[in-house]
Amino acid sequence: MTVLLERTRAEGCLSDLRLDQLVRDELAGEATATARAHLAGCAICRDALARIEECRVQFSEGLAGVRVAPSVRPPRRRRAWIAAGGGLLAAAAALLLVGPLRIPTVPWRSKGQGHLHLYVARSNTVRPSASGDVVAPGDRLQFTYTLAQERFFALLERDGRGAVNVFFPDGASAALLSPGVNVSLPRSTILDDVLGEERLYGLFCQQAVTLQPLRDALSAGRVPSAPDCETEAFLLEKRRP
Amino acid sequence: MAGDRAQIDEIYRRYGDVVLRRARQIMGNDQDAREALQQLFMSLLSDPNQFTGRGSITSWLYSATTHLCLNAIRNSKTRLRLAEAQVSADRDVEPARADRIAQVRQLLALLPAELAEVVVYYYVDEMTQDEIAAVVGCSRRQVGYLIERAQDLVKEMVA
Repeated sequence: MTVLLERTRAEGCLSDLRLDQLVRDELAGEATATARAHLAGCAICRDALARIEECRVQFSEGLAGVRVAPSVRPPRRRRAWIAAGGGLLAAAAALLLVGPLRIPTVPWRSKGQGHLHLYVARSNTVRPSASGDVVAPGDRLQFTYTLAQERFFALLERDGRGAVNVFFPDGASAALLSPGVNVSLPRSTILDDVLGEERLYGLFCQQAVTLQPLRDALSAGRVPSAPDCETEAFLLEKRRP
Repeated sequence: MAGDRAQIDEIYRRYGDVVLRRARQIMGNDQDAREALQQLFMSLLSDPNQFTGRGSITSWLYSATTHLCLNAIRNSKTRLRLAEAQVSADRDVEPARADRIAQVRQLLALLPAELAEVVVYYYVDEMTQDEIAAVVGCSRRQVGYLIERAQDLVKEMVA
C-alpha cells in the first residue's frame, strides 16, 4: 500500500500546479526564477512540463480545428426537428455550436470508428448527457460526433411505446459524414410526450447501409446493426419533471 | 471576474487544457473528461462569481475540476462506466505513474470527500502540502493530518 500511495517526484520537485502556473506566467519573479533553475537540473520535471505543454498545444489545435457542421446534404425539415444553427436556446446555442464552449480536440482514440456525444437542453441550460440520464418531454437533444475518417452514419430512436423513428438522415440509407471533432449533427430534436424508455442508436458504417432493415430490427426490439457498422447506444428514461 | 461570455471564453481557451488534462487523469477516460470540461465551464457561465479573484485562476480551476470529478466518480453510474471504460488518460503521465494513478482512482470513490480531494492533489498532482493548503483553504498542518488519515484508511482498505 505504501507503494500505491507514493509520490514519484523528489522533494523540491515542481508539482503540476506549479508547472501550470509557470507556463501561464502566474508565478512571481522569484518563484519563476527558482522554478526555471530547478527545471534546468531536473529531467523528471522537464518531462512533466513537456507533457503539460503537449496537452496545451493539442487543446489549442483542437480549438482552431473544430468544425461546426458536417458535409452532408441538407436534409428535409421535419416538424419535430430544429435546425441546429438557428434554434438552440439563446444562452446555450453558441456554446454547443459556434461559441466559446466548443469542445476541443483530444487525442484521437484509434479504437473504434466514431463516437457520439449527447447534450440535453432544457430552459436556459444545456448539459452533457449519457446513458441512464433522465429526460423530460420538451427537452431538446443535440448530438455531436467525433470521427477520424469519413463514415456513413444513421441515428435511430425507439420510444417508450415501441415506435421507431430515424432521426438522421432523411434518406433511405445512411449519410456520409466528414471527419471532425465534436461536430454537431445538423438538427436537434424536441422530445415528445411519450414517456418511458428512450433508446437511441447511432451507427457508424463503412458503407451506405439501407435504413429499413435497421428500423425493422429496432421495431422488433433488437439492437440495429449491420456488417461493417459500429453501433453506439444511449438509453434514456423519459419522465415528467 | 466580470461575467461576460468573452472573458469566460478567454479563460476556456487559455486554461481549458488544464481542466481537460486533470479531468482525464482523475476520471481515466476522454469522454468523462470532456463532459467535466463542458460542465465546469457551463457552471462558470451561469455563475461567473464562483471565481472570486482570490488566488490564481489556475488554483481555482484545480479545485473546481477536482470537486466535479470526485462527485462524478461517486455517482454509481459513472463508477460503473469508469470501471468498464478503456483507461486512456494515463498517456498524459509517465508510465511509472500510470498504474499507480489508476489504482488511486479506484480508491477515490471510497474515501471521504475531504480525504479524496487531498489524495488527488498530493499523489496525482504531486503538490506540496503548502500548495494543497492554499488550494483547499486550510492550514498546512491540517493537510498533513488529512494525508495521514488517507494513508491509514487506504492501508485498512487493502489489508
